[in-house]
Amino acid sequence: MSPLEQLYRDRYVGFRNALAPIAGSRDAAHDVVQEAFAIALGDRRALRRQESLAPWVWRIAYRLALRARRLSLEELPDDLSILDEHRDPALAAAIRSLPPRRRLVVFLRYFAGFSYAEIGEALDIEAGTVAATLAQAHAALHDDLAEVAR
Amino acid sequence: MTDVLLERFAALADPTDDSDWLDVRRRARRVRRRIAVPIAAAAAVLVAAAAVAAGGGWMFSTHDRQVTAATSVSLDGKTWHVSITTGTFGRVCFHIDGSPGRTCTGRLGELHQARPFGALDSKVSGGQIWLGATIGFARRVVITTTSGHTYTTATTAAPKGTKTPFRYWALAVAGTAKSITAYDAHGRAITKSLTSLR
Repeated sequence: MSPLEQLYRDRYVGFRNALAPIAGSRDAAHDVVQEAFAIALGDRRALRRQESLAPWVWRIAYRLALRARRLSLEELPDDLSILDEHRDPALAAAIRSLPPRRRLVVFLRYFAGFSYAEIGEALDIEAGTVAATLAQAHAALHDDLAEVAR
Repeated sequence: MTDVLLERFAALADPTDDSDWLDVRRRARRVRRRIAVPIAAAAAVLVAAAAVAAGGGWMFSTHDRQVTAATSVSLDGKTWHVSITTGTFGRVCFHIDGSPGRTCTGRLGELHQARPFGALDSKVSGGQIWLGATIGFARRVVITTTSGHTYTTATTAAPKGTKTPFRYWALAVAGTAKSITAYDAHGRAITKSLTSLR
């Protein structure tokens, strides 16, 4: 099994779930992930050059998702209808309260299962910035969840 | 907290696995056809268009929404290749050949708060290299060093069709810069002291 196929089998669900809020629906996210992996598989020269596959495929998928919704790279949609809210309404509400960029880092970490280094590479930011962003997100989520619990 | 979050996110996520690797492979065959045909037809054009000269010794290339402007500057007979990349989440990245990695700012607004005229500098043997992506009005940049010497260069706009609002400039100066002055198209000057920024 090639490393790319292995990545697909290991991370497909995570990629789809992390991309769904950006693509607008679960089905659209499925299509984006399929197309992103197809582009990665089809571009053999670029594939050979990649040291970390996950961030590279993510960037392809992310651009496809934004393009499908005619958004620029700087824009992140606020639509979180993909979240299965009834399973954990408090967490869903807490996620909604996060700024879009912080939310994206959280999704990459907890839905797509990215390491800090992978998130940094995927978003072109330093690993330290990832750690700081996640710490801020954790604090915000913690506050929101504690408030709900009270 | 994070472990609890991990569990709670897992509960929130849709666990349905509708992956289909065969579909990926089918789509990849289409991608290869899409890549192969235009590449064969346009290879010669691509070689010429991959980097576009824009005068002033600057070469511009684009990748997605990122624009990279590259040039070289000389000091005491030594030449450095420098580049500025704009466009990734509004960030601006500078690279000077021989220095480790890239220096990236936050959004451009932060860059202009940090340094006048979108400038960043790097110390090199015998002096400094300054480069910047500045807003459109600046047509010429003059750097005055602490010893009173002045260095000047014209700013360069990207070629028509390149989506960047900036004008680019680079200077190698002997010693340490004291101030930067930018001139607009009518010769009006705005001078910024660098002493308060160090």
